Amino acid sequence: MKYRIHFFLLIAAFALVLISLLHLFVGQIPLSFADFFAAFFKNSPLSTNELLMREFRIPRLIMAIVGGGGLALAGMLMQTLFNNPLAGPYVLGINSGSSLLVALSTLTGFTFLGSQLNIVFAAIVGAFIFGMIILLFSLSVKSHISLLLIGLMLGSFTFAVVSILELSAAAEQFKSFAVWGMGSLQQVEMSQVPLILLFFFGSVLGSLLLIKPLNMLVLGEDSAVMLGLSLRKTRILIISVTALFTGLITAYCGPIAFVGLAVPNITKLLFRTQQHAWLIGGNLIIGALFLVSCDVLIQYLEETVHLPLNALTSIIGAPFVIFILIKKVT
Amino acid sequence: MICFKNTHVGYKTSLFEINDVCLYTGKMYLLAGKNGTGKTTLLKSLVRSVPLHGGRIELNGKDLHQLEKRMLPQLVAFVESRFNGIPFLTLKDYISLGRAPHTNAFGRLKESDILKTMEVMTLLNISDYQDKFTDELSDGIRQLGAIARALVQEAPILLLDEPTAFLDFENKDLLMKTLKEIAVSQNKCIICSSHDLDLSIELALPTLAVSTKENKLVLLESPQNKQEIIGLIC
Repeated sequence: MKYRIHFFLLIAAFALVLISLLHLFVGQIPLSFADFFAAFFKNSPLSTNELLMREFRIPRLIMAIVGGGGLALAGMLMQTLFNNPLAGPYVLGINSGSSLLVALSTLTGFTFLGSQLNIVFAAIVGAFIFGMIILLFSLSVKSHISLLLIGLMLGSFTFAVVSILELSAAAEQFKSFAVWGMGSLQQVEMSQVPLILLFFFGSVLGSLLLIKPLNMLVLGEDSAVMLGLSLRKTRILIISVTALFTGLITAYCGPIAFVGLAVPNITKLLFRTQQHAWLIGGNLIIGALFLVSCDVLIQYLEETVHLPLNALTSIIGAPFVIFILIKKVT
Repeated sequence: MICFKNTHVGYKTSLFEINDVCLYTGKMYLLAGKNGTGKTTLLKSLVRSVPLHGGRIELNGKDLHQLEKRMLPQLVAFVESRFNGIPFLTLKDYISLGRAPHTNAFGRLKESDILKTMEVMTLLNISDYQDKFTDELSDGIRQLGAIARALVQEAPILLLDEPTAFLDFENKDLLMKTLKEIAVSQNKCIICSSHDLDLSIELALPTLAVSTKENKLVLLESPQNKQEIIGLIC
């Protein structure tokens, strides 16, 4: 059993390295390895190609890795917490919370922090609030499908409020918000990368602290409590870490659908284990692999068709949900 | 040692009352009563899943409800009447989770935890199934797995809610004999609810009978025959 996990982890890690290299060099303007090293080690002045590598290609790759790994982990956390293979930050409407608060702050111009941090914090706070709403509903709604419907309603509600805000916003703000809503990995600059990595690794650390509670939750809440799990503390911690991941990624990339639902299921099917130490590693790597691959495809097709990221993940993800629904009635 | 002091068992209403009954380690008790009389409620009160309607329960002289919540799993282990199995969770991993009250914050299993798990699997004769997924096992093996998980918890009090309900005749007999041996050899207080009254006579188990007439729990130290118990619970 262990060998199986090692095998898939190794293959996925290897594939991630390969596809990441492809990602760096696949764009319209051909760049070289020399540009890659210059981007890291050369001070100034950088040539156009070196600058392109440093300010566009590398941040975009980092964002794809952070986005894929983070959303997959957030999805795994939701699925274990709600004991529901169909859960995920997108389907449960946790992204919607981020969208709502980001819309409120960008479209109405309401700020409580500096503009850059403002969006990130708005997205994280929004995700946390909607996460707590879903948690509250989950206490009284026992059916897996009903919980998803509530997530869907949160999404519709947010969509309605955001539409109203959009109509009353200035043209420029409207456009930038609309572009954000399509999801993209290209809007990150090198200067923002340290903050993103800080939040990301903080959240990964948070997930590692949850290994034991997650393993216990697999038994069901009642049994976990009888083994000494503090349910309230665990729930709030899981929602917090999920909100950190979802908020951070939604703030920089816009909503990205289904990664958080599909990847944890794929990981579990491949690894065939319920040990979350392995599942965390697997989701990070396979999630990153998935999103980097999607982005390579987007760049590859760029000249023929412009594919928004959120559209691509939905095209892959929506049939996957139907597949799980048919395969096992939950 | 468990002592009931004017305990009223029940969540919203008092189902039955227990006056000054004490249960000791090294013994296995059978809990008998008709359906819906509150056997499961009593067991769940002992793990504090359900509050008491009144009175007290003392564990070694200390009020159960005053104990720190995180101490409880080291004192009481509970086996639910049915475990349906969980996909991709191996029997070994499932049983190891019973060590959770003893492991560190990351749940890392020490050598002693692994040894304990293997020892209990051998005792219940389920080692052969350790790498199988729990949702792919037979009802009987799965039930033994659930009991193994409670045993590795190493709590002096072990509660089982109708553990024999899904077992065939042979396994039923074997399981109850094994449990009685464990009660003696590991000095545990085992309470096992069951409708199988023959077992209490056959294995000479002290029996806790829920009397529906008086709404009381009566302890029969050594019931002579099945009729004696039936007379009480009906």
